[in-house]
Amino acid sequence: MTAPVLQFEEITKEYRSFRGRPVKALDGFSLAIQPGEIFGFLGPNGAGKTTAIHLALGFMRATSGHGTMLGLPFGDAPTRARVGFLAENVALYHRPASDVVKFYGALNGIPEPALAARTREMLDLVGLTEVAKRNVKKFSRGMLQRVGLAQALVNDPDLLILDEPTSALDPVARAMVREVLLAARAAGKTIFLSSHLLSEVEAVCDRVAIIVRGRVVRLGTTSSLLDVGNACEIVIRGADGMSLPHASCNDGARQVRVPATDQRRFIESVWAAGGEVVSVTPAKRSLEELFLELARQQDGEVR
Amino acid sequence: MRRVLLIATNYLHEQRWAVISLALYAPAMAAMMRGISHEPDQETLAFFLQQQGSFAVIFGMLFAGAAIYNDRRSRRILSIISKAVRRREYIAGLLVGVWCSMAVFIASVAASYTLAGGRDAGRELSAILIPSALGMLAVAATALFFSTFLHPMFATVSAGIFLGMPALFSRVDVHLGRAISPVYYVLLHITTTKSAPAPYQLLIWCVIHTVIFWAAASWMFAQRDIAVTVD
Repeated sequence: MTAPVLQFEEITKEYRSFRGRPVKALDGFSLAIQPGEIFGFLGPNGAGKTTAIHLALGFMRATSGHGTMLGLPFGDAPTRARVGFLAENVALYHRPASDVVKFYGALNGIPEPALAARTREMLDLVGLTEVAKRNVKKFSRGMLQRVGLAQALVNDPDLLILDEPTSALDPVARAMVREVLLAARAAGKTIFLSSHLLSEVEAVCDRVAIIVRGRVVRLGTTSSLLDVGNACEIVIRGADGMSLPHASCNDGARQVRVPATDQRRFIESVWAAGGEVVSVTPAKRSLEELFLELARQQDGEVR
Repeated sequence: MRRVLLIATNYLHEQRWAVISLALYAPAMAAMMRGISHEPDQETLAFFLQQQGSFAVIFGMLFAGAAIYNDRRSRRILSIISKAVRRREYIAGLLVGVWCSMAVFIASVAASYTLAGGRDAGRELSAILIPSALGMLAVAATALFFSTFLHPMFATVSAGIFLGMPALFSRVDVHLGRAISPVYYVLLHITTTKSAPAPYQLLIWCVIHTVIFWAAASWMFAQRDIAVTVD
């Protein structure tokens, strides 16, 4: 088994509230990210996602526990030369886009003229070649996010940490980011992706962790988390006489989830009622359904 | 070293309007003096030099006190610290950046003094502006140290109080006083001398003071959480 690229071991991060009351952002948080995977990191607001990322990058220190990034303890500066980071709210210095990317590349020790070539390549990758000389203060939020991605990639990082990388992007740019992530994985890079866009996470991530109140509550491959066991989704049309209280309706068709053992009996009853079976597919829940289920559980526990 | 220079250049770029304003202010004052009197007397010019030399030290303290806070407030600090930058390199970059900003101002003062007709310019300039440049570096390091854990306003006030401590203990031994706060004696020298060079021990103490406070600021900053979580 290869060593994890990013590892959190029993990390607790405690803040003091204004009145001095301790508030735990992370509570015995443990997680290991393996090389070459795209890892989805999900959780409701205030769950501790950004805190975990900031700890990994050495912006803050853990109250207890420890972690490693690329084999070295969190906070090791030279290690960060092999890491690309895109923050949730991209804040860049007001310069032309190409100068911004070059500046951050130079901070990671990339020498000229390789830096100039790499900067051009990255701006081209994120579709900003034509505005490379324009000051980023005139950029829209989506364009800023793309410059942010370019600066995160300019050092050809082994580990890419992205905090909400597509939140301000249009669908075309989102598809571009997805391609960038898949290409990075194909090149052997590891990607740690924190996002609220669950469809994006579902589409690209190999594994997913869901964190609630500073603890991992679900962890596994995306397919295993979405699997609901031995059931199938059946879409029918007609058979109006059949009472299906749990069916969802869409454009005259009704969708029902039935256990695999009842599949044959159900289809025959649809036919007997004069209806038509449109499709039968193995049942899967979406990441959104899982997320909402966990969020509701959390709400219930809080109450 | 490259990272320090990159951060310093970046700081200078960020402060360009303030630096340009200061660089224009000195010649404007000199032009005003020449406008009032075609040939301003040497006493007035010497006072101008002393005044601007003191201002450089004070501006250095104000600039340095707010440097970290500005980067934190804009969250741009995350984009720097997420790179292969050590905390001590970041502090050193800001320190060099503040010093460069004030060096531009000092150069502008020197040029203005010469153009305004200051006699024996070389001697008087070196007597005032060299200690001013080194004192400014020491005061910037002190303000940076306090700003690692205090709001910029309190950091600047704290740095001012600390550096003015010898004045509070007027009977303090001058050698001990120089060791605690060389900047106080630099200001004393700037405001009282006209052409006598500053004692070299005082300049050395400024450098030592800068190194000590840079190291202390780096250590203190490394213990601090930079970002407050947004979620």
